[in-house]
Amino acid sequence: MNDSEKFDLSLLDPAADAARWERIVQSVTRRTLDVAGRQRLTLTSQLVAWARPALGFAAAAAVISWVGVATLGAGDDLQRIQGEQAASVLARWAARDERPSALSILEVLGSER
Amino acid sequence: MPADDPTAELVVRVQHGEASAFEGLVRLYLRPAYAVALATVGRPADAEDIAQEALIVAFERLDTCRNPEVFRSWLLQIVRNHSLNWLDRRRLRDVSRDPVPPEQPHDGPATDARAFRAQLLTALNGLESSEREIVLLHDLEGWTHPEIAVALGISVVMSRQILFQSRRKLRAGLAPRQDQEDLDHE
Repeated sequence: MNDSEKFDLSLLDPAADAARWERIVQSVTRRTLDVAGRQRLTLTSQLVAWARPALGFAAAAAVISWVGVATLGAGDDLQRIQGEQAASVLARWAARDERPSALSILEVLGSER
Repeated sequence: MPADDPTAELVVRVQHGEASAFEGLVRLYLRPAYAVALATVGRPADAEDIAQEALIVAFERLDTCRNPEVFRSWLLQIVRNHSLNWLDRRRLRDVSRDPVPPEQPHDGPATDARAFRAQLLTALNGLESSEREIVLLHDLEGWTHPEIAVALGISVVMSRQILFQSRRKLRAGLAPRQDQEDLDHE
Protein backbone atom coordinates (compact mmCIF):
# COMPACT_ATOMS: atom_id res chain seq x y z
CA MET A 1 0.00 0.00 0.00
CA ASN A 2 1.51 3.40 -0.91
CA ASP A 3 0.72 6.96 0.12
CA SER A 4 -1.21 7.80 -3.03
CA GLU A 5 -3.81 5.12 -2.25
CA LYS A 6 -7.00 6.03 -0.44
CA PHE A 7 -6.81 5.36 3.28
CA ASP A 8 -9.55 3.13 4.63
CA LEU A 9 -11.38 5.24 7.21
CA SER A 10 -14.65 3.31 7.05
CA LEU A 11 -14.44 2.53 10.78
CA LEU A 12 -15.02 6.24 11.38
CA ASP A 13 -17.93 6.50 8.94
CA PRO A 14 -20.94 7.87 10.86
CA ALA A 15 -23.28 6.60 8.15
CA ALA A 16 -22.08 2.99 8.35
CA ASP A 17 -25.38 2.23 10.08
CA ALA A 18 -27.62 3.69 7.37
CA ALA A 19 -30.85 3.52 9.38
CA ARG A 20 -29.30 5.31 12.34
CA TRP A 21 -27.81 7.97 10.09
CA GLU A 22 -31.17 8.53 8.39
CA ARG A 23 -32.75 9.10 11.82
CA ILE A 24 -30.09 11.72 12.57
CA VAL A 25 -30.70 13.47 9.23
CA GLN A 26 -34.44 13.49 9.91
CA SER A 27 -33.88 14.81 13.41
CA VAL A 28 -31.72 17.72 12.19
CA THR A 29 -34.23 18.52 9.45
CA ARG A 30 -37.10 18.48 11.94
CA ARG A 31 -35.21 20.78 14.28
CA THR A 32 -34.53 23.28 11.49
CA LEU A 33 -38.24 23.27 10.62
CA ASP A 34 -38.98 23.97 14.30
CA VAL A 35 -36.54 26.87 14.18
CA ALA A 36 -38.23 28.16 11.01
CA GLY A 37 -41.61 27.94 12.77
CA ARG A 38 -40.29 29.93 15.73
CA GLN A 39 -38.79 32.52 13.39
CA ARG A 40 -42.15 32.95 11.65
CA LEU A 41 -43.85 33.25 15.03
CA THR A 42 -41.35 35.86 16.08
CA LEU A 43 -42.00 37.79 12.87
CA THR A 44 -45.75 37.73 13.56
CA SER A 45 -45.15 38.90 17.11
CA GLN A 46 -42.97 41.69 15.79
CA LEU A 47 -45.73 42.81 13.43
CA VAL A 48 -48.30 42.78 16.23
CA ALA A 49 -45.94 44.73 18.48
CA TRP A 50 -45.28 47.10 15.62
CA ALA A 51 -48.99 47.78 15.04
CA ARG A 52 -49.45 49.89 18.17
CA PRO A 53 -46.54 52.32 17.80
CA ALA A 54 -47.29 52.55 14.10
CA LEU A 55 -50.90 53.34 14.92
CA GLY A 56 -49.85 56.03 17.38
CA PHE A 57 -47.44 57.47 14.86
CA ALA A 58 -50.07 57.43 12.11
CA ALA A 59 -52.62 59.14 14.39
CA ALA A 60 -50.08 61.83 15.33
CA ALA A 61 -49.11 62.33 11.68
CA ALA A 62 -52.75 62.63 10.68
CA VAL A 63 -53.45 65.18 13.43
CA ILE A 64 -50.40 67.26 12.49
CA SER A 65 -51.41 67.14 8.84
CA TRP A 66 -54.99 68.14 9.69
CA VAL A 67 -53.87 70.98 12.02
CA GLY A 68 -51.51 72.23 9.32
CA VAL A 69 -54.22 72.28 6.69
CA ALA A 70 -56.72 73.93 9.09
CA THR A 71 -54.39 76.67 10.40
CA LEU A 72 -52.58 77.56 7.20
CA GLY A 73 -55.70 77.35 5.10
CA ALA A 74 -53.63 75.51 2.55
CA GLY A 75 -56.40 73.12 1.51
CA ASP A 76 -60.01 73.28 0.58
CA ASP A 77 -62.90 72.31 2.86
CA LEU A 78 -63.10 68.74 1.54
CA GLN A 79 -59.41 68.16 2.28
CA ARG A 80 -59.83 69.53 5.81
CA ILE A 81 -62.84 67.34 6.53
CA GLN A 82 -61.06 64.19 5.24
CA GLY A 83 -58.03 64.94 7.40
CA GLU A 84 -60.23 65.45 10.42
CA GLN A 85 -61.99 62.14 9.81
CA ALA A 86 -58.73 60.20 9.42
CA ALA A 87 -57.27 61.72 12.58
CA SER A 88 -60.49 60.94 14.42
CA VAL A 89 -60.58 57.28 13.29
CA LEU A 90 -56.92 56.70 14.14
CA ALA A 91 -57.24 58.41 17.52
CA ARG A 92 -60.29 56.25 18.32
CA TRP A 93 -58.41 53.06 17.43
CA ALA A 94 -55.48 54.12 19.59
CA ALA A 95 -57.75 55.02 22.52
CA ARG A 96 -59.60 51.70 22.37
CA ASP A 97 -56.36 49.74 22.15
CA GLU A 98 -57.47 48.25 18.86
CA ARG A 99 -54.95 46.60 16.56
CA PRO A 100 -55.92 47.38 13.01
CA SER A 101 -53.97 45.81 10.17
CA ALA A 102 -51.32 47.84 8.39
CA LEU A 103 -53.64 47.86 5.36
CA SER A 104 -56.47 49.43 7.40
CA ILE A 105 -54.13 52.16 8.66
CA LEU A 106 -52.96 52.88 5.13
CA GLU A 107 -56.57 52.99 3.87
CA VAL A 108 -57.53 55.54 6.51
CA LEU A 109 -54.47 57.64 5.81
CA GLY A 110 -55.19 57.33 2.09
CA SER A 111 -58.66 58.82 2.62
CA GLU A 112 -56.91 61.94 3.89
CA ARG A 113 -55.38 62.59 0.44
CA MET B 1 -18.41 24.26 -7.21
CA PRO B 2 -19.38 21.76 -9.98
CA ALA B 3 -22.15 22.83 -12.37
CA ASP B 4 -24.47 20.01 -11.23
CA ASP B 5 -23.98 20.82 -7.54
CA PRO B 6 -27.41 21.73 -6.12
CA THR B 7 -25.95 23.57 -3.11
CA ALA B 8 -26.37 27.16 -4.30
CA GLU B 9 -29.92 26.54 -5.52
CA LEU B 10 -30.88 24.92 -2.20
CA VAL B 11 -29.37 27.82 -0.26
CA VAL B 12 -31.34 30.35 -2.31
CA ARG B 13 -34.58 28.38 -1.85
CA VAL B 14 -34.12 28.31 1.93
CA GLN B 15 -33.24 32.01 1.96
CA HIS B 16 -36.51 32.67 0.12
CA GLY B 17 -38.49 30.96 2.85
CA GLU B 18 -38.62 27.35 1.67
CA ALA B 19 -37.35 25.86 4.92
CA SER B 20 -37.97 22.29 3.78
CA ALA B 21 -35.23 22.71 1.13
CA PHE B 22 -32.74 22.67 4.00
CA GLU B 23 -33.14 18.89 4.17
CA GLY B 24 -31.15 18.69 0.93
CA LEU B 25 -28.36 20.69 2.53
CA VAL B 26 -28.44 18.46 5.61
CA ARG B 27 -28.09 15.38 3.40
CA LEU B 28 -25.20 16.94 1.49
CA TYR B 29 -23.29 18.47 4.37
CA LEU B 30 -23.92 16.63 7.64
CA ARG B 31 -21.14 14.14 6.89
CA PRO B 32 -18.57 16.76 5.80
CA ALA B 33 -19.50 18.75 8.90
CA TYR B 34 -18.87 15.61 10.96
CA ALA B 35 -15.48 15.13 9.24
CA VAL B 36 -14.37 18.68 10.03
CA ALA B 37 -15.64 18.43 13.61
CA LEU B 38 -13.83 15.11 14.05
CA ALA B 39 -10.64 16.69 12.70
CA THR B 40 -10.85 19.24 15.51
CA VAL B 41 -12.24 17.37 18.52
CA GLY B 42 -11.01 13.82 17.84
CA ARG B 43 -14.05 12.04 19.26
CA PRO B 44 -16.58 10.61 16.78
CA ALA B 45 -19.60 10.83 19.10
CA ASP B 46 -18.85 14.45 19.96
CA ALA B 47 -18.19 15.25 16.30
CA GLU B 48 -21.68 13.97 15.44
CA ASP B 49 -23.26 16.25 18.04
CA ILE B 50 -21.22 19.24 16.91
CA ALA B 51 -22.07 18.62 13.24
CA GLN B 52 -25.79 18.55 14.05
CA GLU B 53 -25.63 21.71 16.15
CA ALA B 54 -23.57 23.49 13.49
CA LEU B 55 -26.15 22.66 10.82
CA ILE B 56 -28.93 24.10 12.98
CA VAL B 57 -26.89 27.27 13.59
CA ALA B 58 -26.14 27.51 9.87
CA PHE B 59 -29.87 27.35 9.16
CA GLU B 60 -30.57 30.11 11.69
CA ARG B 61 -27.87 32.33 10.17
CA LEU B 62 -28.37 31.47 6.52
CA ASP B 63 -29.41 35.05 5.72
CA THR B 64 -25.85 36.12 6.52
CA CYS B 65 -24.44 33.81 3.83
CA ARG B 66 -24.57 36.46 1.12
CA ASN B 67 -22.99 34.35 -1.59
CA PRO B 68 -24.60 30.88 -1.91
CA GLU B 69 -21.62 29.78 -3.99
CA VAL B 70 -19.41 29.86 -0.91
CA PHE B 71 -21.86 28.02 1.35
CA ARG B 72 -19.41 25.13 1.83
CA SER B 73 -16.58 27.19 3.27
CA TRP B 74 -19.08 29.32 5.21
CA LEU B 75 -20.61 26.22 6.82
CA LEU B 76 -17.28 24.56 7.56
CA GLN B 77 -16.11 27.70 9.33
CA ILE B 78 -19.19 27.50 11.56
CA VAL B 79 -18.32 23.85 12.27
CA ARG B 80 -14.72 24.79 13.16
CA ASN B 81 -15.85 27.56 15.48
CA HIS B 82 -18.35 25.24 17.14
CA SER B 83 -15.68 22.58 17.54
CA LEU B 84 -13.21 25.01 19.10
CA ASN B 85 -15.88 26.26 21.52
CA TRP B 86 -16.63 22.67 22.39
CA LEU B 87 -12.92 22.00 23.03
CA ASP B 88 -12.77 25.00 25.35
CA ARG B 89 -15.73 23.66 27.32
CA ARG B 90 -14.18 20.18 27.42
CA ARG B 91 -10.91 21.54 28.78
CA LEU B 92 -12.82 23.15 31.60
CA ARG B 93 -14.87 20.02 32.27
CA ASP B 94 -12.46 17.14 31.86
CA VAL B 95 -9.88 16.10 34.36
CA SER B 96 -8.32 13.79 31.81
CA ARG B 97 -7.60 15.37 28.43
CA ASP B 98 -6.82 12.15 26.67
CA PRO B 99 -8.85 12.50 23.43
CA VAL B 100 -9.04 8.77 22.81
CA PRO B 101 -10.69 6.18 25.07
CA PRO B 102 -8.41 3.44 26.40
CA GLU B 103 -7.84 0.52 24.10
CA GLN B 104 -9.96 -2.58 24.67
CA PRO B 105 -8.38 -6.02 25.12
CA HIS B 106 -8.30 -8.36 22.11
CA ASP B 107 -11.02 -10.92 22.76
CA GLY B 108 -12.88 -11.18 19.45
CA PRO B 109 -13.52 -9.58 16.05
CA ALA B 110 -15.81 -6.82 17.39
CA THR B 111 -13.33 -5.84 20.07
CA ASP B 112 -10.56 -6.02 17.52
CA ALA B 113 -12.43 -3.55 15.29
CA ARG B 114 -12.95 -1.24 18.27
CA ALA B 115 -9.26 -1.43 19.11
CA PHE B 116 -8.27 -0.66 15.53
CA ARG B 117 -10.71 2.25 15.49
CA ALA B 118 -9.09 3.60 18.66
CA GLN B 119 -5.65 3.23 17.09
CA LEU B 120 -6.87 4.96 13.96
CA LEU B 121 -8.10 7.87 16.05
CA THR B 122 -4.79 8.02 17.90
CA ALA B 123 -2.92 8.07 14.59
CA LEU B 124 -5.27 10.79 13.29
CA ASN B 125 -4.68 12.85 16.40
CA GLY B 126 -0.97 12.76 15.58
CA LEU B 127 -1.66 14.87 12.48
CA GLU B 128 -2.09 18.61 12.22
CA SER B 129 -5.70 19.81 12.26
CA SER B 130 -5.56 20.86 8.58
CA GLU B 131 -4.10 17.46 7.66
CA ARG B 132 -6.92 15.69 9.47
CA GLU B 133 -9.51 17.79 7.68
CA ILE B 134 -8.08 17.00 4.27
CA VAL B 135 -7.60 13.29 4.82
CA LEU B 136 -11.11 12.93 6.30
CA LEU B 137 -12.79 15.03 3.61
CA HIS B 138 -10.97 13.14 0.85
CA ASP B 139 -10.72 9.56 2.07
CA LEU B 140 -13.89 9.41 4.19
CA GLU B 141 -16.23 11.85 2.44
CA GLY B 142 -14.94 11.38 -1.07
CA TRP B 143 -14.46 15.08 -1.83
CA THR B 144 -12.19 15.88 -4.75
CA HIS B 145 -9.11 18.07 -4.43
CA PRO B 146 -10.77 21.01 -6.24
CA GLU B 147 -13.71 20.77 -3.82
CA ILE B 148 -11.40 20.65 -0.81
CA ALA B 149 -9.29 23.50 -2.18
CA VAL B 150 -12.32 25.79 -2.52
CA ALA B 151 -13.77 24.84 0.87
CA LEU B 152 -10.47 25.28 2.72
CA GLY B 153 -9.16 28.24 0.74
CA ILE B 154 -5.99 26.50 -0.44
CA SER B 155 -4.63 25.46 -3.84
CA VAL B 156 -5.37 22.09 -5.42
CA VAL B 157 -1.64 21.31 -5.41
CA MET B 158 -1.45 22.09 -1.70
CA SER B 159 -4.44 19.84 -1.04
CA ARG B 160 -2.73 16.96 -2.86
CA GLN B 161 0.55 17.48 -1.03
CA ILE B 162 -1.08 17.63 2.38
CA LEU B 163 -3.14 14.50 1.66
CA PHE B 164 -0.04 12.62 0.56
CA GLN B 165 1.94 13.49 3.68
CA SER B 166 -1.08 12.88 5.94
CA ARG B 167 -1.48 9.35 4.61
CA ARG B 168 2.23 8.72 5.14
CA LYS B 169 1.98 9.89 8.77
CA LEU B 170 -1.16 7.82 9.35
CA ARG B 171 0.49 4.66 8.03
CA ALA B 172 3.55 5.34 10.16
CA GLY B 173 1.28 5.84 13.20
CA LEU B 174 -0.42 2.51 12.59
CA ALA B 175 2.80 0.61 11.77
CA PRO B 176 3.43 -0.70 15.33
CA ARG B 177 0.05 -2.43 15.24
CA GLN B 178 0.82 -3.92 11.84
CA ASP B 179 4.14 -5.23 13.18
CA GLN B 180 2.34 -6.77 16.19
CA GLU B 181 -0.19 -8.46 13.91
CA ASP B 182 2.63 -9.91 11.84
CA LEU B 183 4.20 -11.32 15.03
CA ASP B 184 0.83 -12.77 16.15
CA HIS B 185 0.52 -14.68 12.86
CA GLU B 186 3.97 -16.22 13.17
